[in-house]
Amino acid sequence: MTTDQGSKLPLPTKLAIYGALVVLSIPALLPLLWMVSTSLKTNAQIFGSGDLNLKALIPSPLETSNYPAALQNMPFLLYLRNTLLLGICTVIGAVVSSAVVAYGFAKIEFPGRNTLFAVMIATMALPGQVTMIPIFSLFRSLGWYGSYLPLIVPAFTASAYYVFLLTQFFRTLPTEMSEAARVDGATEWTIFIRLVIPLSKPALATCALFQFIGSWNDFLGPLLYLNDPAKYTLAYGLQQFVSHYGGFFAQLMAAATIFTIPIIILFFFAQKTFIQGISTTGGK
Amino acid sequence: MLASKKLRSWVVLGVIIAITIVVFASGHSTPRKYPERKIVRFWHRWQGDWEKQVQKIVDSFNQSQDKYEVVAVSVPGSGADAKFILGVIGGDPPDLMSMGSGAVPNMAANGFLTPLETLMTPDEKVRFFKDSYPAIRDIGMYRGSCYGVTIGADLMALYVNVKQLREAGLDPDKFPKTLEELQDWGLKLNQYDSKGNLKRLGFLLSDINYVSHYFGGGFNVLPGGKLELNTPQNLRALEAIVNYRKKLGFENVLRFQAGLNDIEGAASWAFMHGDLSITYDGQWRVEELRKFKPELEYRVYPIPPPKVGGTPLGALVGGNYMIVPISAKQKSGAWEFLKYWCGLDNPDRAATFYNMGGWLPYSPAVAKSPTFQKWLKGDSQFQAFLDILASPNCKAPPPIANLQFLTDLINRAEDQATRGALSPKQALEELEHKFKEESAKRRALGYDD
Amino acid sequence: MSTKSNHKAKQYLTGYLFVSPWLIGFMAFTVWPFFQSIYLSFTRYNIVSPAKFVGLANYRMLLTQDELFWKSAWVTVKFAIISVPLGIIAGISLALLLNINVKGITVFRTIFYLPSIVPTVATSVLFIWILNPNIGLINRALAIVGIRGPSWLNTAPWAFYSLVLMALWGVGGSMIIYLAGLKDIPVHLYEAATIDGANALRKMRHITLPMMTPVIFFNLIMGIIGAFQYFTQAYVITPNGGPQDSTYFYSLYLYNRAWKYLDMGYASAMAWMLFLVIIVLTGLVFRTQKKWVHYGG
Repeated sequence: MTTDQGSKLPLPTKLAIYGALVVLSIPALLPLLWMVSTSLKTNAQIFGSGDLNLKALIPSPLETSNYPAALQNMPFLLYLRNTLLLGICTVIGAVVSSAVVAYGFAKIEFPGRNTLFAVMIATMALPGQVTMIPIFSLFRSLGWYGSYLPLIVPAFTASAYYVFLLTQFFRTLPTEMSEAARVDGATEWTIFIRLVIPLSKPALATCALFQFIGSWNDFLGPLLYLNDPAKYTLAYGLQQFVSHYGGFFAQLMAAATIFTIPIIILFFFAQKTFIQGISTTGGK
Repeated sequence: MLASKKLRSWVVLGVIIAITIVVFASGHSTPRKYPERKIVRFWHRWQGDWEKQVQKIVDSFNQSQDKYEVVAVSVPGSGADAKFILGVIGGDPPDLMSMGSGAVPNMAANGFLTPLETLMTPDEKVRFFKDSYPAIRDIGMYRGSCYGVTIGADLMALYVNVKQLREAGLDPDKFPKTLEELQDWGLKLNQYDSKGNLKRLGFLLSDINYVSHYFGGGFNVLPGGKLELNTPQNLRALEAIVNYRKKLGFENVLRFQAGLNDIEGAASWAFMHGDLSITYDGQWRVEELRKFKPELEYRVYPIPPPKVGGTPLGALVGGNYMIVPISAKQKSGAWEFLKYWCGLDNPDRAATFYNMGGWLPYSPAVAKSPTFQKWLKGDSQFQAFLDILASPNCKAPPPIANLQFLTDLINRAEDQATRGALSPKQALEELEHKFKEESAKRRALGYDD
Repeated sequence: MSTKSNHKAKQYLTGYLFVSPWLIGFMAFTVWPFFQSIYLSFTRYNIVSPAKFVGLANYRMLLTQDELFWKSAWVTVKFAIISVPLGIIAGISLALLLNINVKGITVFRTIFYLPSIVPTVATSVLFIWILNPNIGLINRALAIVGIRGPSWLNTAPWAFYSLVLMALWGVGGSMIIYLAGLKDIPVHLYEAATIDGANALRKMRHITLPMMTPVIFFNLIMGIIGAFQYFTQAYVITPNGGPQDSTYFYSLYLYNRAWKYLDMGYASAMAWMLFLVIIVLTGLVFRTQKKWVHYGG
């Protein structure tokens, strides 16, 4: 059960592993399969049979009209642009600032460090529902209401969650190298950029991924701070299909599929970073 | 050396980010169609196809005059109240907003909303209060002022599957005149599978908050603070609900209900699939049936009252309030639009709008207009809802600040009683007790209800 | 001496500079809302009119007169006790499985993360269908072995466990973190162990698990915070608290108090009670850190 040894495993073990993977894949795949299959049916097909078995997952005949209809029902490209703008800005902001802060907490001694760290953890313990109004008033008095600033700027001041996560990773890094670098006169910034960042790619990729997905799914943030529909995002567009009165279910699922596919692709490529962890970049 | 190079690349990255934000953060914005006019900002809760209908009404208003431009934004359900509240306390409210019923008395009680009569001319005021259906007028009232106009009130009536009735040997044209008779029909229409599970439900009485109005009851808090919650009428209503369920078996009904392939917001309604023979539901189902199951033969009837002490055509009206925040900047424009939409100045024109959404009109004048009558010929099942709306037993919920809390308590009491966890009597006692407790708490905190 | 203290001062300054992005954000965006909400918890505040100071009244009422407060607190505690350990075990096991380098593993990684990506609107409807007592997959499977499954979301104990199941199903997020943690373990440790003749089990016990403890610690802390603040799925599936309040989670009640009953003062008091509980619990866990969390290097 160690890393990177799969190719040397004996056949029965390999088979057992594949067996476990396949069995566990079924429940994991179900939501996606069901969503895609529903998006390829008519409303009558979805609710007509009243049967829910695996065979019912295969739509017949295939109904593809839900996709163009779903795309027509929202300014897709505009929403996509807005979503990407928010996603990219907050990913850069959150990952860069959180990594810097985490390094400070993990690797540099300074008075009050532990207290500040505890305070930071504590900020996560208060439910957002009661700070929503004061935060809103704050952004409003800064004149940021109606722009993307309330959604982007806070990302640049590090997120407690990512800082905590990255701190845990940075603290496990071997100290010998950084000590050696310090003796050579390297600054903390150099050590951070040259040594710590390359060794922490998996953790940084995790943060970037979480932040991007979070921003991609955020529906309430844009809704509360923006008043012009032209500034809204895909999550808002998706919400438009969740109509209270007799909406079109298949179209909703088509919209949800369109909404999900980019994230799946992104994840598929992002997870390669996890493989090229420290194991290949050295660390001996 | 290397460090400074790195540093420079970070600086460059920072500058790029800064530029991106500056360029994009202003974002794209929707151009105004009539930039020279006064803007009336309207937030509503309709989505999808309904949003398009609302947009048509907005366009029609914008073309009808040259002083105002209404700009509509759809604010989906789960975020609507929060966005509205934040908009108002942040000093940037909409001029007109459509809201769900529950929160309005609370907001009115706290001076959040504009009394609409201050926007009406004396003549409009007289006409508005005289013309409206009583229930629709009352639902927007709080302490003598009108705070909301209901466009598209929600009511419930029985939907009856004609074919299933005939198959069971029941004549849909001789529909029961009493609740007891109807329940007998229900038992005849039930179908079970081989294991004794309910497969089709003939009829089920539920929703005490609503049906109590057929028993001469209703959950009420009178202006002096007198409670009408644990009343003999409400008890009889809850007992009727519970006893009928007992006949079918609590567990059996729960299982059946959980098994219905019923998803809110989808074209999936158990009545459409024939799993319910007679069920009662809102007027919006007429529109849904027309859209998704035009071949289904059905009728709509008001619920027949119980034999003893019954009140026919009872109802608890709810719906979409149109309200004007106290801090709105363009109140007169909001009122102009509201007047245009509801039909105070021109009932026949407004009838087209009501028909677009299958909404119930605010006044008999709209209902009697030629346009509405013509539409009614095509959707004749809608008539039952108009009859209920005009009835003196059609009531608005009590105008109290903690109405939402009361509504949740009522549902909780019914939940307990229909699971057999509490007897109907205990459930209502507990309801009244809890409400008193909450009211005492609010008084102790200094709320003025 | 003076150069040494000079050096120290410089180091401290560097430290503060590094954490300054967070510090600035904390001062600018967090401190004020926090104090504001503490103050509001001592007021009568219905959002729509100005707050009025009422002393400890909200807290007193919560503790002595609110049955639902205790009920929802218990539902939440029960949820935390069950879902946090289950989530950790499931997350680690999946990550270990997905860390084995066999062909096609990248596809499986993506598959296992899917439940965390698919939008809630789709997953919640799917869940309602899967848990349908008559035609749902689960009860059908139970029927094959002769068990009559419960009507899941519509009966008191089972609605709660349905939500536990649903939460567990979204374990992909913490799985990714464990996976990143596994990838961070230096290969040379394993190589050294192999030379020493250690078998897979020993490597697991003496290298993998100890090296994972910082990440496990992270997920434990975040799991506790997340479980006590658990809200979204409960709100989507049972917004009114489910059958007989069995899924009336603390945060759901808090939300209803704040935004439905417009009782923000009371809700703020609830939030601060929750805050204190979480702080105490996470504080206790932090204290145990020295005993079991290994920061290598």
